Amino acid sequence: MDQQAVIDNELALEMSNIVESGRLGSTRFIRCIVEVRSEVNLETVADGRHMEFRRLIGASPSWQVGSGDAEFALTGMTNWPGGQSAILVVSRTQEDMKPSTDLMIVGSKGAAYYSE
Amino acid sequence: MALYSCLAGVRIRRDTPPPSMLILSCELIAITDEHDVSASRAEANQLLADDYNIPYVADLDQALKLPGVDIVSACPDVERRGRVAVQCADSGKCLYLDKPLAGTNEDARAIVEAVDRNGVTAQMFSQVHSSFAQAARAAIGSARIGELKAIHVECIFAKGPPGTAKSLAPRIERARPDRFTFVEAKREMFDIGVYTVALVRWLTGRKISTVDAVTSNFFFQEHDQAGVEDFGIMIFDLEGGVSATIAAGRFGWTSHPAGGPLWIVLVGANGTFTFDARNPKFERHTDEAPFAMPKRHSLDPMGMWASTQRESNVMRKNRWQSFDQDPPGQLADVSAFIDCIENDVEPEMNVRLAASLTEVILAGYESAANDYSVKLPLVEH
Repeated sequence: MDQQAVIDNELALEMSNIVESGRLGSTRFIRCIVEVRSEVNLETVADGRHMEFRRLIGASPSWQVGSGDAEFALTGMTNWPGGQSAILVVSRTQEDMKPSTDLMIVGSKGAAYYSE
Repeated sequence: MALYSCLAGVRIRRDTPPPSMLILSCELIAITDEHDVSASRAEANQLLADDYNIPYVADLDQALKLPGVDIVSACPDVERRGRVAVQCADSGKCLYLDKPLAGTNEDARAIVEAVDRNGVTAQMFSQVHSSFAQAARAAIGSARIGELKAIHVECIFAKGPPGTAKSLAPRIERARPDRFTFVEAKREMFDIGVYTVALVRWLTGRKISTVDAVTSNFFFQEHDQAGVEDFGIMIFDLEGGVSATIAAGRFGWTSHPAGGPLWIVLVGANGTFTFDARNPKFERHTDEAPFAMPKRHSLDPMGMWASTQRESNVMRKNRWQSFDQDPPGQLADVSAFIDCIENDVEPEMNVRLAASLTEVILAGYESAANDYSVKLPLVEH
């Protein structure tokens, strides 16, 4: 497993911990901007993040809209039956920049932020 | 520099016309409103006039005839914006207009027609003159980003008491919202979302062709009771294959260390670039008391107005010290408006562009109500 995969797995675990702690209240919205290198498949990354979101919300989406192209950027909006929603943007890093994730989880009582 | 006189329109509950207008080249002459407003509104208008030690002229017709009036800073209730702006434009006054331009496409079109008919300078307040938006605009115009592929804009206000909504059941959106003005609440995708849609349109210079939106979340009891959204998210297809997403609204005093997320993400052929109004900044950790939730103000629980925030003794958030003292760019916006008047130049956020934003947001409500994509231009029902 490469270093980025380790970070992604740890991030997913911490996201679950934050949500399950209840400190944010009920999860209402997730916004995630992921930047990956040119050799990484955007669709694979997007699919992985959507799976994480589903786990966090605990249900299958009721509505999903996607846009963009697989070469430069994929953007998506997801809605769940309970009213929760998410925005995901998966795009390319600038040349020589590290991959990164900027994440905001908004609950009914507060928000959590992650940036690398 | 020429001295412009400024006739201030009315902001409810003693909120002010932009004070920055006073320190530029304008003299505030009077506060006014339509003659038949409610007693409580008239009282609020009088309080605002008292704050500035200027008269309250309780009849807009009469106020527009006062000598020396060149500009109207107009911020009436959304439902009255079309009528008031048209009347002011027809009297030949320049217009500094609160956002959003109007609550219906009919009102927005009427304002555009009145401004065109009278040849007056008119600008809607927005964030396009802020430092972070200007930096993003400069980047789009450079070779650094390459061809624009996608854009994300986020503007969420960290105000209001979170976690007070009694139910977490998804709210039901209305395809055609017919009310925007409440004492204790606003439609947040409309009121705050307009900033984000404005930035998408202004930065890209492209029309929006398809809108999908979600407005189903509740944080606040006040929004629950009024039946309005806490925030909204939208995804757009723009001309030329560019995609865009926005998130906008209000999520609570304690949900962010500063005023709330306010940033732009540009995705170009050369990578991803972010423009954050809160960066660069110092982050301070001291023995000062941390921010605490303010006392609930019965007339303004969501913290919309500076005057009621003062009355509630809202603490200043001081953990983040942004280099930019005016992240939303209020002073720059007023300055740009005055420059347009002086140089007879069309404002960047002119009423035609502002009207297009109303159409996009109304399309968003239709999408959110029906869970389907809405194509623009809207078909009038």
